[in-house]
Amino acid sequence: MTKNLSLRDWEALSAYLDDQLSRKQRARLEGRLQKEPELKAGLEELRRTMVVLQSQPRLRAPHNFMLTPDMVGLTRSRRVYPAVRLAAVLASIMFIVTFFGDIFFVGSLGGALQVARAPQSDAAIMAIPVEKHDEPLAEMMLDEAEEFSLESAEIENRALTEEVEQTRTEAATQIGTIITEQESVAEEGAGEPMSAAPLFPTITGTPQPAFDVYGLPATATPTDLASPTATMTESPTTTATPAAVFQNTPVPFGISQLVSGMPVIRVLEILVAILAVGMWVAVWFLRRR
Amino acid sequence: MDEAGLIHAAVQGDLDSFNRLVLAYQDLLYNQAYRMLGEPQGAEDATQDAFISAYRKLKSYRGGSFRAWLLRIVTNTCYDEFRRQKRRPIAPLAPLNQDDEEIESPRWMADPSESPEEAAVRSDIREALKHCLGELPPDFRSVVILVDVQGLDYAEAAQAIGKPLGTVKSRLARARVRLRDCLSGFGELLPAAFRLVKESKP
Repeated sequence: MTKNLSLRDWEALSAYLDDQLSRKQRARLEGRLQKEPELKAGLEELRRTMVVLQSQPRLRAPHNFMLTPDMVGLTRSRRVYPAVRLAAVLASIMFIVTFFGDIFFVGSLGGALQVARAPQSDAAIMAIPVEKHDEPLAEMMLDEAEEFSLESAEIENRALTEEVEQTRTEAATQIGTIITEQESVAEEGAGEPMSAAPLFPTITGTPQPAFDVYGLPATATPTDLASPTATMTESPTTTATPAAVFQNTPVPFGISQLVSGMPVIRVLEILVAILAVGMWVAVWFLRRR
Repeated sequence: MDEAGLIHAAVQGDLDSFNRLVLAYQDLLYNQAYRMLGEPQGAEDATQDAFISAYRKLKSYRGGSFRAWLLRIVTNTCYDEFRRQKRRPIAPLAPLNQDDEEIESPRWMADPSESPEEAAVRSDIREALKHCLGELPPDFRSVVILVDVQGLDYAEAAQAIGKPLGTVKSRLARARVRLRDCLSGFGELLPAAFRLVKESKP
């Protein structure tokens, strides 16, 4: 058996048998094979080894190795996929229904409802001082408030809010002027003590007329305004200026304010849209698996 | 449908198309696993695991020889089995009886599969080759099986083991030389045409 060949010689012989040498390498090796009997013996030994290897019969697989859905974890996905796809379709249909419902229902009836509700609430706000007093001036205020409420019923929703604000400011200014006049009259009274009953009350509490997009009061409902926190109290000190009484306070902005300003159907529409998108993403993911 | 169409359908998740590929290549993979591991049960497990792994990795197939790609997976599965056997030897050194006590009799040390007499009279070339292949390091074994038993060319073998062409050439030459050395020990047992050492003339 050949022992004296180098690893490089064996590699060259192996590649020669597989016809993997270049023409130049092949010619050089064939020249050596003619001159070196040991190299030629090594080539013969390698050839026989290859014959032994290649003589091996090809075995047949003892059974089929075909895969089942359980083997590759497809069973669960296949069961879930139709259900998720059905849910996605239903969510899409719900979205379409709510979308068109929003357009046709809220778009046509919503405006009329808002116009009808706005003056009612405004009248409720303006009627509060009258409940406590029988003064002629209060009656005058009521008349003005009714006039303003009638006016506001005739204009559009958006303009309504601004109009009411302006009206309130004017009314408050008038009230302040009247109060100031009454104070001066009271001071001019001969020897009347300051502890005598005042003619006009001081408005305590600060109503916050925050309005939503439809002109409806968001924080000051008629019920709130009738509550004791917003009542008029009689007091000898009339330091509060009417302008400050109706000063708007900033309303913090957040999701709750945003959602509370929307009709229910629009909130529902957004939720259904998110649900539909999520379901279709799940369908796409399951299909790729 | 041709092979490319079946592969494309299988990538899309069509298990039936993949099973048609399984039927076409299961003999090839089983042969590779059997020659690598040397025993049928392990070869069956490795072949099945390789097909499952191939289905899951099908998206990573980037063209080229699909046969070589499958052979690479089954070869790697066999490597995993070698590593597992190395970590957990099958036969304990001192087996325990039912009472968890060591068996003192040396009878358990006898190899039931092969006695020295049986080895001496073993004339089957298949057994000789199986023995010699088992003596090779796994890296050399996989290359010589791919080229000389499965009939792959160097380029496909390089793809199957994930190594350069030069590595294939070198490992193949070394494996053949080692097999030559091993098979020479079975000289009288092999048929005359396969004997590696010329009989000396009297």
